[in-house]
Amino acid sequence: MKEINRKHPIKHYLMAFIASTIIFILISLISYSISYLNYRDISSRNNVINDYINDLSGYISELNCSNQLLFDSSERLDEVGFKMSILENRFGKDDVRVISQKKLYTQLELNHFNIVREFNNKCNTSFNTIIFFYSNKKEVKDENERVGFVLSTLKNKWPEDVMIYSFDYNLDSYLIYDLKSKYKVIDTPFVLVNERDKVEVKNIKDIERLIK
Amino acid sequence: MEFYHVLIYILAYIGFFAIAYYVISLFTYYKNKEIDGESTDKKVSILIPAYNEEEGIARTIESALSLDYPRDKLEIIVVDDGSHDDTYKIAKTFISSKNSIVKVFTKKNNGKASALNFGIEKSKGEIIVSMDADSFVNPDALKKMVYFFKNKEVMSVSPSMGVYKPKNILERIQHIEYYMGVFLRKSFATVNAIHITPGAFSAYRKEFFLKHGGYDEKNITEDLEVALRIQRYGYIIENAPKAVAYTIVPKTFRPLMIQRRRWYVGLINNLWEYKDLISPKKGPLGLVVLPVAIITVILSLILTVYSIIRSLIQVRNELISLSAINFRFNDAFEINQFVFSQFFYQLFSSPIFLISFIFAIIMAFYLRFSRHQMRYSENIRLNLFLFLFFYSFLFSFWWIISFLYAILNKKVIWRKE
Repeated sequence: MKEINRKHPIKHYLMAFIASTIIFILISLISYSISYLNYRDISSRNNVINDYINDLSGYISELNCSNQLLFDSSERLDEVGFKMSILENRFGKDDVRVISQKKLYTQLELNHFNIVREFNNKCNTSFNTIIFFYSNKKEVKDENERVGFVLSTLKNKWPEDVMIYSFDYNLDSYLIYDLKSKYKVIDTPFVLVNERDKVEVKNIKDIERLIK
Repeated sequence: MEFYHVLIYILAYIGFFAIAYYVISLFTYYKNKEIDGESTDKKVSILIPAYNEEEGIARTIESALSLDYPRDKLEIIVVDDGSHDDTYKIAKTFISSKNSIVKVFTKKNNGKASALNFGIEKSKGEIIVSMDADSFVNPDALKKMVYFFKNKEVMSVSPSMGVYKPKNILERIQHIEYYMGVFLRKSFATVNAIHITPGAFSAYRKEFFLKHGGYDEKNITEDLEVALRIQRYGYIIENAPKAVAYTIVPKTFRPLMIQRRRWYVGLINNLWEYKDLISPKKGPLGLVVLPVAIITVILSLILTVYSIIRSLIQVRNELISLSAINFRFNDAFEINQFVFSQFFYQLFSSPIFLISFIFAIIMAFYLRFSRHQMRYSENIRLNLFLFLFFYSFLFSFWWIISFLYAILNKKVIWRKE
């Protein structure tokens, strides 16, 4: 059997290796940069919400019962919540930036929740509040996502009557520990309507019959 | 990171490496070599094995006769492999005089390889060209292929294969697939790594058959086996991208499945038989081309099966969620700006989307190269769309079936009866 010279310049392999590595790194950088833009967007939105909530506190103390500010801030909270889930998927739930934004978001949600409660008392309104504890742990993720989907639909259906507050059960934050202890949350998904009725959500009607 | 993503990244990295390597080799080749030429200095025998080909045989012989090649250096040998129809009768009509360059033989049916071996025995040419009875060639194809035989180490030359007048969805998908093959075959040729010579129209030096035996009559992909044998013996297989041959591809799903099953089971069996070629000693063929091909097929299959299972689970979860909200389709289309911005973030922050985007650009480059070589100018947008949408599913399906056939050692039908 004859053998021809099959040697191929090693520099071709090296060049291919370098080119493919550069392409791969570029792709990672681009996608990471876009995720970072999203992160920046969330940070600035959190500030906006904070301003809204401060304004809202002022309005309530002056006994100004305009709903609009409440709706606006609630809408923005929902937007940030949605963006947060994208950020979490991209950077991972243990990422320091995700955790810090989540803690801030939790604080804002809680402030909003307290204001809605106060608003209901002072302005004789009946906004329904729903507290939702979820977990991203693999074994319960599907079930939690299903309940989250039901709650999103409920919010879309009754945007002016329902305020939903989602909290990460596993977030290492004193706010979460306090809430878990206050509402006796021991597993997820946990849904509490108007601070009274704990609901096992199988169908949207399970919640609809409890809201005013 | 999910298993799914890890698999996609590994596949993408291997893909980028292989493509970068092929492109670098191609550029170096075109920079250092005389690109192509034409030659008619060798006597050529075109062998057309035919079995029940009464519909297309006349067109194929006419195409061979239309080749721009000196008549005194060309012979066309039709071997009727015991057809039950009028193939032999129709082929005979081309023998118009004693000086005709067409010769027609008939023999007991024993398969394509046996018909080709019969033709080799009867041939007088220095170069043997195998031509399927449902193929056509451009008139300048042969002299462009013969040109490469000026190098004595070259034992075979393959052309660019195109699809003849694609009309329906499956033909259009195969049209783009054949285009991809044009680029890849030339890239492989630049590093002598061609491992498949298309049976539809390929040229061989007769000397190889005389020294190392004819076609393997027990092999279901005899053309593939010859190519691997040429590689094992250390010769060169060249490619003439500007030599264009066309084939009629299967129009419906079942014949296409039968064809692919034969090709892929043949590939598995032959690669196992010639596993010694997967070695660094065999240069780029053994170090890059064959390992990348094998790894890509295996990972793609795992990925497809996993994706299908994953999608089914997602659909199930989606249905459970939709039933939990008493879903009505009328409410489903509440799209607003926010949804669009989220769609943008989700899409572009996913490396998988960017990887797909870059592969699409690479594919456009492949197509441009192939169309330029084949001087093809018709619009292929629809074909490309169909290819992008359906090919990966078809490819995986063919491979899964073929693997099952190979593992279970089931008999593979190899042609129409």
